[in-house]
Formats: sequence, C-alpha cells, structure tokens
Amino acid sequence: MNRNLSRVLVLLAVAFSMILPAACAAPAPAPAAPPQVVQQTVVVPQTVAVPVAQTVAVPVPQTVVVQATAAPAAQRKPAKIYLVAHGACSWDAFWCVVEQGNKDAARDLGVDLTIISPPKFDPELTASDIDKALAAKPDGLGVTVTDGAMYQEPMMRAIKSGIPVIAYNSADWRPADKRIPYLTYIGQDEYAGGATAAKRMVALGKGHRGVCVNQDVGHTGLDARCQGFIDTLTKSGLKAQVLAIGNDAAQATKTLGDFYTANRDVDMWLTLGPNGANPFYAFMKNAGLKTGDVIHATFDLSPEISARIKDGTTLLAIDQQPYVQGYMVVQWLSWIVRYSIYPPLDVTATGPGVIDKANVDMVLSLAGKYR
Amino acid sequence: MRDQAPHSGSITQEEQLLARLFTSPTSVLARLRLRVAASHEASISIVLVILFAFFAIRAPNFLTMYALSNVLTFASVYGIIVCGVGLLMIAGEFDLSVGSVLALSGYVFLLSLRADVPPLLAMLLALAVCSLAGFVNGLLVVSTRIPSFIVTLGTGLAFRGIVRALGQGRTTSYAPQVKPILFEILNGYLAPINQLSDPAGNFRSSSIWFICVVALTAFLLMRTRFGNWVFAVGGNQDAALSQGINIRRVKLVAFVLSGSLAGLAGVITFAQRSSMNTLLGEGLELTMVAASVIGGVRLTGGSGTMVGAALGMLLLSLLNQGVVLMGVPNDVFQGLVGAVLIVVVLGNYRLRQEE
Repeated sequence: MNRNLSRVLVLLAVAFSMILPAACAAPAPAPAAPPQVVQQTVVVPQTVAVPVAQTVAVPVPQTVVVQATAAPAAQRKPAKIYLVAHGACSWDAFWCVVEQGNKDAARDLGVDLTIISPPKFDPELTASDIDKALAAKPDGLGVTVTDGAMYQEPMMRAIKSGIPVIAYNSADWRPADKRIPYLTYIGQDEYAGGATAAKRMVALGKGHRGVCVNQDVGHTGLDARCQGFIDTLTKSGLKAQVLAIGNDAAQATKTLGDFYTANRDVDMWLTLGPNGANPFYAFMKNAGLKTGDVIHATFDLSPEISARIKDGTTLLAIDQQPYVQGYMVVQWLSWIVRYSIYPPLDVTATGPGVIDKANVDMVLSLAGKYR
Repeated sequence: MRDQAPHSGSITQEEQLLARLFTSPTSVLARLRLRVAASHEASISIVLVILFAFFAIRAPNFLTMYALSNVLTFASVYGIIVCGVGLLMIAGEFDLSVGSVLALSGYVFLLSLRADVPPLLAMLLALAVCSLAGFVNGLLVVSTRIPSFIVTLGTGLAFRGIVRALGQGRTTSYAPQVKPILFEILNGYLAPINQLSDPAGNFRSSSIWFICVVALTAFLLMRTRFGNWVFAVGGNQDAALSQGINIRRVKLVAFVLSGSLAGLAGVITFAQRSSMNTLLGEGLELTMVAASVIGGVRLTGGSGTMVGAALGMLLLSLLNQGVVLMGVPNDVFQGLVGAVLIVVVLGNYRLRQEE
C-alpha cells in the first residue's frame, strides 16, 4: 500500500512539476497594435561621461514632442523573426526588461516575433531550440550565445542557409578566428564588467577576500564576468573564487549561508544579476549582516537592486542596458530583412555602465521595465 | 437474438457464437476495443496520431524534413535513457539519478579526451563509470531495502556533486584540430539523407543508436528469460520469489542497464556539442519518468513496453517542435506535457479497465 502510495505521489509530482511552471509563467504578449500616425513622446539622450571600463553614455532625460509616422504594415516586407534566449522573464527578472525591448520593437516595427527560451537555464536545451526555430524558416535569428562551442553547429547551419544571425546579451567569447560569424553582438564586454566592479571594490580599501556568485554555471559570459573579477582581485593581492548557486532563490540563499559559515573572512561579494542579488539580500538578513559589514556589487538592475544601491547596501551595479539589447536585436534583424541595412561593427556595445548611489535616482522609477 | 438462434445438429453452439462475433458489427468493434485495450501502446499511439495530425494542419512548416528530423533527433538521446528508466520501472524501481549520470558520463569522456586518452577508450571509461554508478544504485536499493526513489534521489545529488567538482564552476569544451571519427559515429550529421531535401534535414546517427537500443531492450524484455523475470519482479515480488527468481540480481542488472544507457546518452550528447557544463541533465529524471508513463509503463511496475516508452519520448519531442513552430511560448510547453501526461494515463486506465 505504502509502495503504491509513494508511486502515486511520484506521478503527482511529475504532473505538477510540468504544470506549475506554466501556471507561474509570464502572461502572453499583447497583440501588436496596428501601425498608425502617432503623437509620440521621445526621450532624447544627452550624454554624460561616468566612470566605467569602456566609457558609456548615460542619458539625462529631456522631453521633446515629435510627429512620428509609422509605415502602414501592408507596405512593409513581412519579417518573421525568431529569438532563442537562454533566460525568460518567468524565472529571471532580468529578462523581463530584455523581453520588454523585444516586444516594443516588434510592435513598433510590425515584426512577427517568436521568442523561445527554456523553463530553466539549460544550454543543451537552448542549443536544440536553435534547430527547432530554424525549422520554422525564420527571416532572421537572434541568439544569446552562452556557449559558443555548444551553439556552433546549429548557428552555422543557420548562417550557411543564408539566415541573418545576430548574437545579443551574450557573445561567443572564443578567439576571433574561432568564433561563430554572426553579424554583430549586441551587449557588453563581460570581462571588463567584472574587472570594473572589482576595481571599485578594491578602491574602498576595506576588502580582504572576494567571491563571485554565479547563478548560471555553464554560461561563458558569466564565467567571463567572474574571471574579470578574480583576475583584478588577484592582481591586487587578494584571494577570490567562484560560488555556484543556481536559479532557485531559496536554495541559493541556503548555499550562500552555508558558504559564509565556512568562509567568514569573505567580505567582497559580486553577484551576477537579480537571481544572485536577491538571494544575497535574503542571506544578509538571515546572517545578521548589516549595511557596511560586507562590500556587495552586482551586475544588472531590478527594483530590489536599485533600492539597495540607494540605501548603501550595494556599492554599484554594472548595467548592460538590457532594454536596448532586446529592442536592437529585433530592430537590426528587421532592417536587414527589409532594407538590407547591416550592422557595421562586430560589437554593438550597450555597456558596461555603472549605476551607483550618485546616479541611481535616474533609474529608480524605470527599474524592472526599461532599466 | 440469442434465443432465436436455431440449434441445428451440424453446427455447434460455439461455432454459432464465433460466426456472430465475426459478422456482427458491434462484436467486431468490441473485439477491436479489446485488442486496443490489450495493447500497451494504444493510448500513446492514438495521442501521437492526433497530435501529428493537429500539427500537420496548424503548425506552419511542420511537414518538412527539417521539423520531422528534429522530432526524431531530439527524442533520440533522451530516448536512450528512457529505455533504461522504463525497464527499471517495469521491474518496480525508479532511477532518479540518470540526469546526473548523463553529466558524469560527459565529463569523464571530456576529461579523458583532454588527457589524450584515445577516444574509444575514453568512451569505454565513461560507460564503465556510469555502469558502476548504476551498480551502486542497485546495491544500495537491494541491500538496504530503502525505496529506490529515495536512494537514487540521494545518489543523484552525490553524482551531481562529483560533476560540479569536475566542472570547477565553468564551461569546459574540447576543440581538437581534427574531430575524432568516433564523434561522427556516435552523433554525426547524416548529410546524404539530410541533403535529400531543401532546406536540409537534421537527421543524426544518434537516431540509429536510439532505434538499436529500443530494439535490443525490447528483445531483452519480451524474448528472454531475464525479461520474464523483470515483469515478474515488478508485478508481484512475493510470487517471483516463490518461483525461485533471484530478485536482487534482476534489480541489480536493471540498475546497471539504466546507468550504462544514461552513460551512452552522455557520450552521444558530448559527441555533438563538444562542450560540457555542470547543469547538463539537471531535472531530467522526472521527464524520463513522465515519458515512460505516457508510453504506457505502469508506475506500479510489472507492465509496459520499450516501444511504448520510446514513443512517449517521441511524443514529448513532437510536442516541443510543434509548439515552437506555432509560436507558442515555451513556458506553455511544460503545461502541455502535464496535460498530455494526465490524458494518456487516464486513457491507459480506461483501456485497462476494459481489458
């Protein structure tokens, strides 16, 4: 009886494990609005230099009103674009901003857009998703290349068949002669981002030992962030290491706590996005750590991260402007398909920028949607 | 009607009954239903045909070589694991460590290759390690009598820990000047077949391995004494024991088979991707159980077929490709799998009641 009961429980566990993530998934995108003549408010950036690895322009909003005329959909060449991303808004808040950019661009440009992403970080599944997307015969393909070696074969299949391919958010970090020949990479230099965060932490002169908290081990871009962090700290005579946590918030909090129990001297923490930062804040609370007890820096923004920068818990966030990445990948692919306009550079940089206490007010109200 | 049938001297009552069975439309239908009910693959086959027809009508580009070859290709690697998991479930046990064993296999293969071990030897080493992992699972289950659900949950975590230690928190790839021929044999792109269509398909040699493994395990289960023992052990352990079947040995062999097939899937995966990360196969266990159950393998053991389990994996792959072509968000896919799982299990339950 007990044996049967346990098997019934297994069956229920299987069924619910399949259904639950779908139930928790983000709602489907709203249907694209028909193109029309619109009175549009546009934010025109006025550039201000901020201390970053590669100086990146940070916009100061200035509002002007312009007349924008969208071309009627009937006059546009149809563009069926597929994006294969390794993350999704349903389980990583960072991706809500990227997807917002994707959807806004698809609506603005009248693109038939499909985004494919796995239910959890899974490079192997994402690689197979590229092939599944290619079966749909897309006009353009955008891929977040978290592992160049793994994605090489399906991406080369797309490129050889004449489909324009763009990497966004994450690039193939192998040497130029080995990397996948996509048209451009829209994103940030990950290594430089890790190094920038480390330099700012070292400059405080308080830290002794660092840890890079990686929620997506297997993501070569995140590996590069950690490498930049570790190399910089090592050059400064400090020890540093990587801690793998995964994307489950509760488990990640526990892992951080266990690690801290065994390594009390670690006082420089780098998290690699909201899925690392949010469990870190929970861990701080559990461990009784207060603002100033440890130095924390992170990649990317979320409402929680912005609030913690404001209150001083987090020193800074390396900002890669995910909305821009999401918007630009759809924009470039649609321009290529419709007008044969190609990106001129191998890298279309969207970061790394730095958001700290000095400029966080600028992004606070936009966090989670555009920043 | 029965009362009106004449009882002549030359035709017996049984013969009349048989004649009616063969001529009456309702009886033919009843016989068909009985035959369908007796088949383990009935539910899965019906759902598979319905889904195929649905996607053929509604999903653009579904009836292309690329899409159809994707369905088979992406069912193949995990389909090999399903054969081991399914056979073990028929023997009345679970293996929730297959995802970790898959990754372990990939890492042993990768690290051996990077240490300049010849590819064939590296593959055999990976298979040996995974067979050992299966043996450890089996030994713990039969010697401690702790439910396999718990034992393999624990060993799965332990194997994942080993994988994480081997992976050292980063992605590792293998990029030799010349790709070993073994990679082509294990999971090569079948260009002559693929280039028969434009755009080319995506058939790979992993599908040949998948078909071979299904055929071999089906033969093992249906045509050998060991297969009979597996059914007996999974169906009723006490009865199997009273017939002199060595239950411990049968279970041990089934666990080793499950481990080695997960290992084979690991080397086949690596042969295509040439890159490893510590997340490979994480969470795969429940998908394997789901595919087996969808394919008609009874969760309580003692019943099921390898062809059914393989069809279960094929159905999941078909569903995945279909929703991608229809532009349905991937998040919905898991919900669909859950719904299909419940529908097919209910179908199996109803058919068995009729049987």
